[in-house]
Amino acid sequence: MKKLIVLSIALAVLLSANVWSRGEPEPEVAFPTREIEIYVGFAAGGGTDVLARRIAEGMEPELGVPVIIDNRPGAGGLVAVQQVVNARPNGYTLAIILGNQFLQKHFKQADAWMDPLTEVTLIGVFNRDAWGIAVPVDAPYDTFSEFVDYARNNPGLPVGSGPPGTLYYWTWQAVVAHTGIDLTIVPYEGTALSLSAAAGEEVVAAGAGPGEAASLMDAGLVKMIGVAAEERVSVFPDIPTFREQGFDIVIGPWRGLVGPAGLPDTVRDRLANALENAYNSQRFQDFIREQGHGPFFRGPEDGMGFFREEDTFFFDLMDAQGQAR
Amino acid sequence: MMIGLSEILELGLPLVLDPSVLLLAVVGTLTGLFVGAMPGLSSVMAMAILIPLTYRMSPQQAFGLLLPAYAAGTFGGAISAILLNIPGTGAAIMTTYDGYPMAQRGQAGYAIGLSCVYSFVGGIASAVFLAAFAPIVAHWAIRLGTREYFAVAVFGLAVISYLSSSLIKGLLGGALGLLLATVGMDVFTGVSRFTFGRAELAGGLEFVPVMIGVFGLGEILHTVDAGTREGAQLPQKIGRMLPELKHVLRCIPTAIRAIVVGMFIGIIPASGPTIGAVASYGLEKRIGKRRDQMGTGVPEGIVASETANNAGTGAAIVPMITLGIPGDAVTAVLLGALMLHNLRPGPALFTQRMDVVASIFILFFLGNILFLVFGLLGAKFFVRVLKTPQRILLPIVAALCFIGAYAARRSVFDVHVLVLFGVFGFLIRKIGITPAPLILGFILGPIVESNLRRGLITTGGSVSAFFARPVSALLLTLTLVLLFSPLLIRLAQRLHSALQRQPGKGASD
Repeated sequence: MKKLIVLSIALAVLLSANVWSRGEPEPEVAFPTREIEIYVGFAAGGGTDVLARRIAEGMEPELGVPVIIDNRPGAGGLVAVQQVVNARPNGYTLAIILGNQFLQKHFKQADAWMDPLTEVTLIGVFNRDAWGIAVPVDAPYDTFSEFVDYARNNPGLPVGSGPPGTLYYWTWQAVVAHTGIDLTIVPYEGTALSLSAAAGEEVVAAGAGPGEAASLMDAGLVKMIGVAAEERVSVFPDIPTFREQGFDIVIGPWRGLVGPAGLPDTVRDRLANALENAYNSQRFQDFIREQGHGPFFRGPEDGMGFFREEDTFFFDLMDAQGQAR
Repeated sequence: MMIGLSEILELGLPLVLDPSVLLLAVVGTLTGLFVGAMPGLSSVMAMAILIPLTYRMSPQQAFGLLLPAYAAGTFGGAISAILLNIPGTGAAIMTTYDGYPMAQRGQAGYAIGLSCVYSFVGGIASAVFLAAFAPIVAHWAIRLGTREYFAVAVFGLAVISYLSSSLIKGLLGGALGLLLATVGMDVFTGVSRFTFGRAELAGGLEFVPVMIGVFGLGEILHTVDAGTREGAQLPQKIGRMLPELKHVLRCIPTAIRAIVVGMFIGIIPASGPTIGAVASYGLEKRIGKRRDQMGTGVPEGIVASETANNAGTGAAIVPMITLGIPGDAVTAVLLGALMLHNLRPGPALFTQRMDVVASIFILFFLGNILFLVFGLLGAKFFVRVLKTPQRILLPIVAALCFIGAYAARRSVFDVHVLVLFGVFGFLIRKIGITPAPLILGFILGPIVESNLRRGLITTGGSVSAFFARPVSALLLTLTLVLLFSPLLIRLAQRLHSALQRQPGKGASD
C-alpha cells in the first residue's frame, strides 16, 4: 500500500512535470540570448558557403550575438536543411535553402526530399544568381538566338550540365522546353568540369553563372552568349539577357534562410529584419556585385509567394518530361 | 608567357617577409603536419578548419596559413602510413606498402626522414614548375577532358593488379571497392543506387569514413586480434633518424620518374595527388630497378609515392590559379579563399594582382621548406609513437578515427559508416584482402564509370574515340602493356625454352 502511494506520487510528479513543461508558455525573453547556428549544406570555401558567411557576418551586429556557419555538406544542400527540419523551432538553428530542394521534392528519381512549403519557416531569400550559357570562344555563334538557330540546323549537339536532380540540369531542360531545340544534355559532376569541357570543346556549350565562368572568359577560352536574368549582371554588362534576345527565360540558383516549421512570429520577424539589414549593407552589396552574384531579396511574407512560384515552375517542367513525382 | 624570377621576388618577398605572415606559415605547417599525420584527419579537413580563420586576414596572411598546411598535410599523411599502417591522407595510401614494412624492421625513423626529404623534392619541383610555366601549361591542360580522365583512372585501376601478393585477392578487393563506389545518385539518370532513402547517401559513401574505417579501425581490430592470439607487439625499435646520403642518392632516378608522373597527373583538372601517387608507384613496380622487392619495405616504394603526391600539389594549383578549375578538394578550398578576398583566378590575376600571385608562389615554396625542417626535426618525436604501449596507443587512434569520421561533415551517420567499414576492414583482412586495392577501387570507380559513359555520350558511342586523342591513347596503351606484359613475357619465355629444348629445329632457321 505504502509502495502504491509512493508510486502514485512519483507518477503524479512526472505527469505534473509534463503538464508544467508543456503548459507554461516559453518565457518572453528577448531573442536572441545566445549564438545562432546556420547550417550550410556545402563544404567550406564554396560559393554558397562564402555567401552564407558574408550574410551571417552582416547579421551579427544586428542581433548582437555570434552567428556561426556550420558546414554539413550532402545531397545538394538537403542534409543541412533536413537537420534543421528536425531541430527545435527556437530560432537558434537555421539553414540555407536552395532551389535544389524544390527540385528534389518533385523529381521522381530522388528518394530523399523534404517539402519546403510546409516543413520549414522561411526567413528570407537573399540572393539569386543568373544562370547563363558559356560557349567555346571560337564557336560560330555570339548570341543565344544564333545558338538556337545553329542548334535547329544541327540537332543533338552535346551541352554540359549538372546531374539530373540538380538545378543546372533542369535549366537546360527549361531552354529545350522554351525553344524546342534538340540538345544532348551531358551531365558533369560540377560546373567547373562542365565549363572546362566547354573550354576544351568537348561540348558546344556549358551552363554556368557568369561569375563561375569569369576566369575562363578572362583567359580567352569561353564567351557567354546570354544570361537568364531579368536584367544584365552589373559586373558583366556586355552579356545580354535571354529576354532581350526574345526568349523569356529567367532562371538561376538562389539562396534563402530558413528555420524549422513553427518558428514563433516574433523570432522569425527579428531574424528577417536582421537578414534584410545585412542584405542592404554596403559591404554585402559590394561583395555580391564584385563576385557577379545577383541581387534579390524576399522577406518572409512575399518570399512564400516566390516559394510557391518555384514549386509550380519545377513541377511543371518535370511533369512535361514525365519526371515529376 | 613566362614569369620572371626577379619579378616574383620583387613583388612577393616584401609581402611575405612580414612577421605575421611568417608566423602563420609556421602555424599552417604545424597544423598540416599534425592533421595530416593523424589517422582519420585529412588535409582537406585541415583546410576546412583553417579557412574560416582566414576570413578577416589579408590575402598573404590567408595563403601564408593555407598553402604551407596543404604542403605539410600531404607529407604528414606518410607519418601514420609508416608508423601505423594507416594512411593519414588518401595521398599516402601507397606509402603504406613499403613504409610500414620498413617500420616493422626497425627503420621507422629512416622511412619518415626519406619521405620528408622526397616530399620536399617533389614539392619544390612542382613549385618551380608552377611559378615558371603555370599559364602555358594550364592552356594545354584545359584541352584534356573526359577521355583523358577515363584513361588516367583506368591506368590507376590496372595498378591494383600489382599490389597484392595474390592477384585474385587484389582484384577481388578492387572489385569490392568498385561496387561500393556505385552507391549514390547516378550522375546520368538521377536514379538513386543503394541509398535506402537516406539523403546522406545521395552523394555516395563519404570517402573519409570509408577510408579510415577500412584502414584505421580495421587495422586496430586486426592488431588487437593478432595481439590477443599471438601476443604480438608493434616493433619497439626505432633505428637511425636521418636517411643515409647514399640511400637518398640511390632513389634519384625513382624520384625523377615520380615527379614527372605526379605533375603530369596533378595538372589534369579534377585528378589530384592521390592518383598521381598510385600511378607513380605502379610505374615503379613495373620498370624500377628494385621492382621485385617493392612492397617488402624498399626506399624506392616510399619515394615513388611521396615524391609524386607532393609533386601533384603544385601542379594541382595550376588549373586553379590560372583558370579557376580546382584539381581536387583541397584546391577547391584554396579557390574559395581567393574568392573570399574578392580575387578572381585567371589571367587578370596575373596582370592586375601579380603581387598576390608572386606571394602565392613564394608561400608555397616556403611551405615546402618549413615542413622539411619540422619533419626532420620532429621525426624522432613521431617515432616515439611506437614506444607507446598498444593498450594506450590503439584507443587513442580509435578515438581519432571516430572524431575524423564525425568532423568531416558533422554527421553521426558517417560514424555509423565508419564502424561498419571498420568491421568490414577487419573481416577482409581475415581472408587476406588488403585494404589498398579496395580503397583505390572506391576512389577510381566513379571516375572510370562517369567518364566512360560521358565519353560514349559525347562521341556518339564510339569506343575508338578513346584512342583518338594522344594523351588517352598513350595512357590506355600503357595500361594494356601493364596488364598484359607479364603474360606476354611468360609466353615468350615458354617459347624460348621450348625452342632451346629442340636445338636442331631452333638452330636450323
